[in-house]
Amino acid sequence: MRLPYIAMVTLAGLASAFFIHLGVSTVDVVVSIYALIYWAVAPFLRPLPRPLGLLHTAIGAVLLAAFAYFAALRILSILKL
Amino acid sequence: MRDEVGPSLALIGAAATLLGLLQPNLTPLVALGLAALTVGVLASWEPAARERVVAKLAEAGWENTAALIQAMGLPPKAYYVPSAVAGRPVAVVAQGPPLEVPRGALTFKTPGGPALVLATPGGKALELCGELPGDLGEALRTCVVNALGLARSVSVAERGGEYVVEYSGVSAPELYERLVVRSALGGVVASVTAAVAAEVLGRPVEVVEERRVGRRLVVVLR
Repeated sequence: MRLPYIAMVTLAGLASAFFIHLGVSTVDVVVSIYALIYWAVAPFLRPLPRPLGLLHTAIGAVLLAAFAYFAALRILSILKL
Repeated sequence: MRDEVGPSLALIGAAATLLGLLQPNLTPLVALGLAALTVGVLASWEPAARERVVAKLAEAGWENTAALIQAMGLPPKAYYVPSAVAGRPVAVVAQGPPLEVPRGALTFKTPGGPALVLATPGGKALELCGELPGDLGEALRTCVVNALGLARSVSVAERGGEYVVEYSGVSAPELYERLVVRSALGGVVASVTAAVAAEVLGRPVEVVEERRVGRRLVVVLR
């Protein structure tokens, strides 16, 4: 198994452990942090051959969309719109 | 083992994600679950994708070989020659079995016409397999099953001067499927089988028949 894969799972594991320690129970924070980890590891994971590269980008785009959605909800609640 | 790591990770990841979503106090598990799921999917797909790219790039060499065979007007029939005869394990494409092969030659003349000397997947496999036992069945088990992992099991039967080699659980890449080279050298597993047989038997060997049914493969050598 390649090192970036191991790094991604390790970082996500550490984040999960930290969130459990903090008592976080909302999925938006967890998914957002995972999206951050995913894109932070991405430059080390690439290059990938074509169908795999597209899949990697698609997963990243879905995570980014989820992050944007959760961020928008938070901003809207702050602005009280 | 290596092939199972990706799917196993994906399965564990899916289970952890589901658990994290259903159990409120375990929500942070979603991050670990998603990571395991994505890594599992990518890791199980990546080797096959890279192998396909490498095989496509290497196809140029096999196309040149096919063109060479056709340009020389040779029949698509190869005789696998042991290293004791040719200095290295090679295949000779010619009208009939060669009595001797000049060392280092690319082409030479036989009584039946010109002959072409080719390096084969089988010859390269022998470099990876190292020292082989004296028995053909044991040698094929050591090389094809244990060293190369191209098949799960192998059995050898001798019938009237022909060796019938039967493999089960074959998992081998296709390097030159639609080219004339395939008729000459046989498939990858047949090529390795013939090269190993030539080394063990110490004489030229040809692939008489190659039959594949699902993941079972029967190679008949003479």
